[in-house]
Amino acid sequence: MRPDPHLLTGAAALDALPDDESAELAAHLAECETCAAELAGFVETAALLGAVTADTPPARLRESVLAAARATPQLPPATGRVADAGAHRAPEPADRAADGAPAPATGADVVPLRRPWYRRPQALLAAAVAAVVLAAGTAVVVVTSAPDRDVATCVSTAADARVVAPSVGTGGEVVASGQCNQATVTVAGLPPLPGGKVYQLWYLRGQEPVSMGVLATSATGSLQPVTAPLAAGTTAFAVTVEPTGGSAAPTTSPVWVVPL
Amino acid sequence: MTSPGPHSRGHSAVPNASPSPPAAGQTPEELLRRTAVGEEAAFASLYDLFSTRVFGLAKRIVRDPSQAEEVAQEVFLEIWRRASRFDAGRGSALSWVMTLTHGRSVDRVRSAQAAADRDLRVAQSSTERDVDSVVEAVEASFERRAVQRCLGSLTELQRESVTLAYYSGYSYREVAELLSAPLPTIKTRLRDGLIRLRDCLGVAT
Ligand SMILES: [Zn+2]
Repeated sequence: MRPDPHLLTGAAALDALPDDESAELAAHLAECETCAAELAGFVETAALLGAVTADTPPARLRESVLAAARATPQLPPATGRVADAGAHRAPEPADRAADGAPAPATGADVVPLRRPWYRRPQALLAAAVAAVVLAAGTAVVVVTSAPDRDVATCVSTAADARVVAPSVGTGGEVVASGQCNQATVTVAGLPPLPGGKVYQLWYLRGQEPVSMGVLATSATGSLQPVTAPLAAGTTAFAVTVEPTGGSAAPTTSPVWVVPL
Repeated sequence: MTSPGPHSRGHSAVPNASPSPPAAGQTPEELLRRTAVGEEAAFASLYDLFSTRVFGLAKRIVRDPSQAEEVAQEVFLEIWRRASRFDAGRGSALSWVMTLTHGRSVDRVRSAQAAADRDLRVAQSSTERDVDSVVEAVEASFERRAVQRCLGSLTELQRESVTLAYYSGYSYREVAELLSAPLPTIKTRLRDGLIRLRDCLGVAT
């Protein structure tokens, strides 16, 4: 008896299936929406596992890659059929790598993705690059003002007050004062979230994120400012997208960061 | 942890005086679209966005830094060449790139030569990465935490199976051999493990 193809999605998402079973799964996916959707979710999940191994490449790689790209022709858009759907070596009229251009050997030899690009059901909020994505969003959300009058007054008039702009995200600021032992955190520039999601504010004590709670949203959709005691050893403030109610620890990468 | 921030509440929300220009073209998906029409600057931005992940995963799988560099170079050239084939309706740019990276790395490590000298131990290479900036550290910290926490929520066999397949590039048959478990068991563990990870990491389904 053949094994149940429904069980192959996990191994497939991890490139752990031998070719014969990959083919079997591919045939099955053509007629099973459930497995196709499951695999798509697994592929997104597997991509996030790469966060753990991120490592800075040698600086020379950047120039090497860019130089090679300049010398390498690009494929035209796929017309019809599923792009990247497997081992078809698409006709490449634009590929002139053999004409003596200094294209690297790999450039001439197309290795297609190992599996079709299955439909994924929805956007992925946990995408590791969400920081950049959301920073590019509409500048709808606005915040500011003095949340706690005394604190804000102290902070805004303190001789040692520092105003720090976000390094990730495009709006808002942190005003921190050691004398007042307080900081005013104003988060802005983040797009409205879909239902079921909230922005949660954290400070980092060293590398340890500590929750400061979920950011309240006013009737107009703007985020409310927060004043916070400035704990010793605070290295940054950050905002992540979390499920409604917030999380005990961050589950997504920050969309807004102010390093102190 | 749902408590509101300490002394929150403000009222005079002020319209943003200078709304930041819509930074269209900065999402990875948009960068890929621009790369597809030959914009080198967009491609360079993609490199900056993904190079630590691409190189890091390749290095983890192939182990050898110089081979990892070669794999990363191949991956980025594939991104450059195939950018027009990316379809945002079918998956995120991140997963497109990481899928390509994983496949390339696994291909390399499974090549006959490499397989011959393959060390079957699960070497936990704990190379600390150089952190360029506080921001990078913060992001890396958050992401690593989320993944590590979620990996920690798996059963031991699920976790071992998933990490051997993903981070070491083993086929599920090799995983079964390494863990002395029957093939169907490993297939099931991989799938169950990914279901848990997916739900824990909040990947929409
Ligand atoms: Zn099915």
